[in-house]
Amino acid sequence: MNLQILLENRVEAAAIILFGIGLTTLLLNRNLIKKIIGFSFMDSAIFLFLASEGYIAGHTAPIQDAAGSLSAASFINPIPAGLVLTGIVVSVSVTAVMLSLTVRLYQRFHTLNLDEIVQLAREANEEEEEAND
Amino acid sequence: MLWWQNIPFFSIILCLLSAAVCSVLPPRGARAWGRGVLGLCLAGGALLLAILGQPGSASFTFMMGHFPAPWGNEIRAGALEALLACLFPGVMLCALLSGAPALSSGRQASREPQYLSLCMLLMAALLSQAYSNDLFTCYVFLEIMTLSAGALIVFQNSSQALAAGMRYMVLNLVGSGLFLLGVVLLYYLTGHLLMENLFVSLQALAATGEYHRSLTIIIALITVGLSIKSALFPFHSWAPDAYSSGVPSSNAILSSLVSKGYILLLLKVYARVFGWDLVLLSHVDHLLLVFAWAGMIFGSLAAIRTSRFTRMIAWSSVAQIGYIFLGIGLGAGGGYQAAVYHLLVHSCSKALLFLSGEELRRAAGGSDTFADLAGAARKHPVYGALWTVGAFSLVGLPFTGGLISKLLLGGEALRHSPPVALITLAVLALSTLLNVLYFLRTMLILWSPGQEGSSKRGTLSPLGLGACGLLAAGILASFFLAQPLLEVITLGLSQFS
Repeated sequence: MNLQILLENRVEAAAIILFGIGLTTLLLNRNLIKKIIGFSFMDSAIFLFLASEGYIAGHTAPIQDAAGSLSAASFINPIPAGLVLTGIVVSVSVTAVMLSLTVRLYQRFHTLNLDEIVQLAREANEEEEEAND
Repeated sequence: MLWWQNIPFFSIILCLLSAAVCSVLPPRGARAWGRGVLGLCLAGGALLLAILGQPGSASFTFMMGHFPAPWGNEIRAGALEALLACLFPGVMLCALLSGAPALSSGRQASREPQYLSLCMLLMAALLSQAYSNDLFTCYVFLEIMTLSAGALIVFQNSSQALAAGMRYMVLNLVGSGLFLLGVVLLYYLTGHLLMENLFVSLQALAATGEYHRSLTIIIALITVGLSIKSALFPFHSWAPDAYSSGVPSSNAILSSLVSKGYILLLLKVYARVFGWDLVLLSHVDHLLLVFAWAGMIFGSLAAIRTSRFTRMIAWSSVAQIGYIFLGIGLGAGGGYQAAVYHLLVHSCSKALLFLSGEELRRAAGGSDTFADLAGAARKHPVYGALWTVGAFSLVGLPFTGGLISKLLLGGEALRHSPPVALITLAVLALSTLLNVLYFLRTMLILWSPGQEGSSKRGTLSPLGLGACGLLAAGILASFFLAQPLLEVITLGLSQFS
């Protein structure tokens, strides 16, 4: 019974597993590039979930044909698609900012390890204050 | 539709457009434009408050483009939204006026338009959190707030600011992800994103008793997501660095406004989407209480341990966020009222501490260590007095709004079961004692005679001084005008349901 429920909701289950992988990577991996990949996984998993919610088997994209013969009942739900598109724009913007910040951090510290970067930043700050004194 | 009902929409759109305009203007023009727009938003918020804050007034919804949801998008304004629409631009304007010298000098001077552009984006996001009636719109502006706040941290381009900015972004993205998953699951269960429709559907679902586990997971996801973003203990690890690494105005804006935007959203989700009964069923309120108690103590202890002035103020934010979440955890009615009241008081107090503290630091030669700050308040007695007002408010001394919020929290705790009431009162007392310890120590250092040059007085910027004076006046007004303020908050919260 449980397996059947899982099979019926396989796309949703896959999305949740992908979200978990992304979340773990973003939170636990020290490498900045891998963190950004984790973030992209996380967002893509949610978009997959949303897209699967809007899809109705046998229905078409909500675009009217030239003759105007298609009824609304034959379309898939367009709202999740709209949400996915908006979400993709947000996700791309965040990824771009994160990548640009990563480039700047690498130029400054020559490492992609966030723990090392935090440690080096503290040392740099202490040195700066000693120099000021 | 009445003409003043356009104010929320035009406030948001004006800030968004100004973000683009500021980025192409020369520094002086961008500065004037940014201040003008914030002044307009403040005036709009004050007008709305004057209309919607009247006893018996009702909230209104505004359909953008006259399309009903879900094709169009809705914004909603009531007394509480109007009050916050005054607070957000008011505090940001004070932060920009007082922090102007640090922005317009040195390497940062040429980048001031970009800074103001980020501030405009942040203001649009904050106003949207207050006004939006749609959860997905809230998510989009949540991310805009995260991006603009992250950019404000790294604006200084120092090693510490860059590292703090990255830590802020990583942990806030985790929070955003959890929040988005919660919103998508809500849509999956109900087919709605508009708050009113969600509330009706969720009450019907809860009545069937079939979706208890799913609803608990969704409430937990949204709560944890927004708790991470508002730096509630134990999700606060990013906050002390982020609140103390940027330029002074960034520190003030981040600690006094950005975290409040996330808390406001959580409050709206609890009150307008789930309803407090559903939150009680999920037992998330217990989780919030435990985190709040721990945060109030741990944040204060960390503030005592630090040897740096700005970091001490940053750590105190972790404790103060605990106070706000304590109010939310204590529940609808008195708890929410106390939470909103402390949110207002903390916004003014924290901004004042950061901004006047920066002037004191400058008087001490830019040093951030307590040893070097000895006698700083004597060089700048006015800023010293203003900093003292902010500190008194966070301790909860008479004639400041902090006392009212602590009394509200204590009074609400007494209405709960004896164990909750006892623990809350004990934690409030202990946290207040710890607040006294670190603020009193700092005040003694600041007002001590100092080692040398204590008779030398620094120059005063009239605008900066006026801005800090306004924040201090806000703190005092929240004590002397506590009754009308509480009436507006109560009216606003009643319009939520």
